[in-house]
Amino acid sequence: MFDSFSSKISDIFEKLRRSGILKEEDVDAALREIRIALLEADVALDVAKKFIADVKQKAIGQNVIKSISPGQMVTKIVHDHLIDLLGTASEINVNKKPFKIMLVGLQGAGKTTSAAKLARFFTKKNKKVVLTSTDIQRPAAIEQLQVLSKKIDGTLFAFPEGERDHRNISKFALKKLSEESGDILIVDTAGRLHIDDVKMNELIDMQSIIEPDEILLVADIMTGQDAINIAKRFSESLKISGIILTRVDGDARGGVALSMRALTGCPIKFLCVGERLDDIEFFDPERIAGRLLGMGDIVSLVEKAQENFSKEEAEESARKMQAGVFTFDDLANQIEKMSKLGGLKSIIKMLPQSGQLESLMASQGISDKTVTRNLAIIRSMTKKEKRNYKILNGSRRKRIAAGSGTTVQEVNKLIKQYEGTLEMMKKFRKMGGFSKIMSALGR
Amino acid sequence: MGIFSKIKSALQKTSEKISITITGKKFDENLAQEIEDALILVDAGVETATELAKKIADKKFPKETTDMDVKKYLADEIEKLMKPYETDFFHQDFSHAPFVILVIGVNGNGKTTTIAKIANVLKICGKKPLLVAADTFRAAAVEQLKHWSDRISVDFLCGKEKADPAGLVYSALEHAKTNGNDIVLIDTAGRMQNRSDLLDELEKIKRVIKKIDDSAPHSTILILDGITGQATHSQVETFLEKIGIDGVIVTKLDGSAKAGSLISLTRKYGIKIFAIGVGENIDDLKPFNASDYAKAIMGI
Repeated sequence: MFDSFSSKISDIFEKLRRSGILKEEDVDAALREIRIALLEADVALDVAKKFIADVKQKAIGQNVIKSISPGQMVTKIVHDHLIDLLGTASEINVNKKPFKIMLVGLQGAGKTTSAAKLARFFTKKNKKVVLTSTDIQRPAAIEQLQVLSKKIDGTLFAFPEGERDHRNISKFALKKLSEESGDILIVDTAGRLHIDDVKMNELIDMQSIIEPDEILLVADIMTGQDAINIAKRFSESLKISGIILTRVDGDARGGVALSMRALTGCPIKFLCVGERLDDIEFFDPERIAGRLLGMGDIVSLVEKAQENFSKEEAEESARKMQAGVFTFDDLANQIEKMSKLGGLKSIIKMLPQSGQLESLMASQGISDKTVTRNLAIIRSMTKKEKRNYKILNGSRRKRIAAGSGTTVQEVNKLIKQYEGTLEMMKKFRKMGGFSKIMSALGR
Repeated sequence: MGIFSKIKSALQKTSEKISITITGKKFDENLAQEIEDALILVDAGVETATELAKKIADKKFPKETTDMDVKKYLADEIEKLMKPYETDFFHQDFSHAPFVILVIGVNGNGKTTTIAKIANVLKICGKKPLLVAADTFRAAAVEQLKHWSDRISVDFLCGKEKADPAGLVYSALEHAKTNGNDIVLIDTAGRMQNRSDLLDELEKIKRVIKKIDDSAPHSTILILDGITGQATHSQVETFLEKIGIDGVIVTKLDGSAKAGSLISLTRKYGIKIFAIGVGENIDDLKPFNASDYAKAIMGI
């Protein structure tokens, strides 16, 4: 999400580190760059301006000359200020019974999917959830939530058949909530423009009927400068208590996280990180600020990888590697797993120094495209060939190239890379295996 | 309210903040900075904003220049930049039958609604569109398109739940031939531009279309959300490179967002703007007009 931003900021501080002593003009130059980076990341103009002014004030207050590493010091100031602005990691306390949540936002922000994700999130914590939708505007919006609710055990979808009035739907849901003695009510609402007074009044109306404990503003992480208008109008009209950011799995730089927090004064409570119902998590400012500053989001990557690689699979592949058995099937398996993580490009982006890695890969001709082509090559091999690459003679290679729609050169290249991997594994084994190397690196 | 005034009023909502920023000030050097800020506020991006602000700073305006003159000058510049990409989607040769239109984009941008709007115009023009619900992923996406097809009475085709969208598209094209549909509009599942597996799926859909008709799809439209900031760049770049697009339709321009990233997008990728979405009603799809757009951006 914050990839390009983080590589930019690390470039800036790279320059600062090289310059040795931090002069005021260096700070100014760095701040100018940070301003551009913030704006390109879609941080609202006012928020970016204030951020720069605050950081400058803090930096100048410090005794920069005595500082050993001025770059690090500015990094710390920027980092701390980011954390300050982003707010604390927030848990949502739903112990009050019943606990009522209303979701609001623009069209296409991701309210309906978020409603279902929240329902899943709370049912996993053994809460009984009642879901309803007052979105009678968008065709099939009600059906969408109904279909999703069926996938979530312990969730009740409450909707009065054929009803077209948001007040009656709200009242019906409240009645169901008490009849069924549900723990949590989640109300999905129609998407609306913040400048549409009639529709905004409808929400105010619903707010007074439902008396929600939380009104969460759902916002797309890709939102541009309009975030300022959205945040202001929604938080002025309603008692917004928190933000849900959606599409965080995309590659948008996501400055809206900073903007929304600063402009509504409300905490960011959840991040939606994928299309599956389980893809929702609590907001963690450290993680996002770390990403902003080029430290990479290794935590995210690890978690994402854990979801896709089961423990057994990981142990199996480690065992195979230890034993030096690594067939083309194993390679194909790994490539597939990687594309599930979002492909090479997005994995790299989560790592520190992603900028350099990306250019290195480009210079080596490695891209998601070559990865897909390699997968096609492996799939065109026979079982026997996959297990023993040594039998791959000229005519077999020709056949594989034709079968996979690639060239013999590409097949040769892949085999060469594969041989390189085997060679590397051999060396690793001689050095005492993976675990030993990893623990050495840990020190 | 006529078609034209509706677009204008829709776009004017956005320009309010700009006019407030600039109006009432005498022309001076600070104006360049104000222009830059104003352009950033409409999502034009730092590069474009700086470039245009520099034009103001470098230009020798006569002494009696007012801020309105400067705004007009800048609106002209923006219009000049965007004019080459102003294209009315409906002013093209639809005679190839069936004329296949593939609609793609990230989640929540307004693909389904836009398809209904396009189908409605083509139906009014005497065409017989077939709507194909190839978004087999999102819950009730199929129903959403079905509702629209009922509402505007055009033909509709869907597959089984979680069916392979490419397979559905294949049978849809066959169906169109036997059923006499001269337009096939394919709604695809929303996908983030960094999901390579989902982009592969889209590539497959395109390959399948080509198997039946090598000249198809005759138009591939990327739907952009008008509220999106600089992420539009990576969307256009990826979809253009991976799938190929003929033009974009920008939705949700009836709000206060202005999609200023279009100024640089069009130039950088040579991408046409087919139309803009200005509301939830079936006829809220309007042609893009560079002059109106530029004026609205500058608050004239």
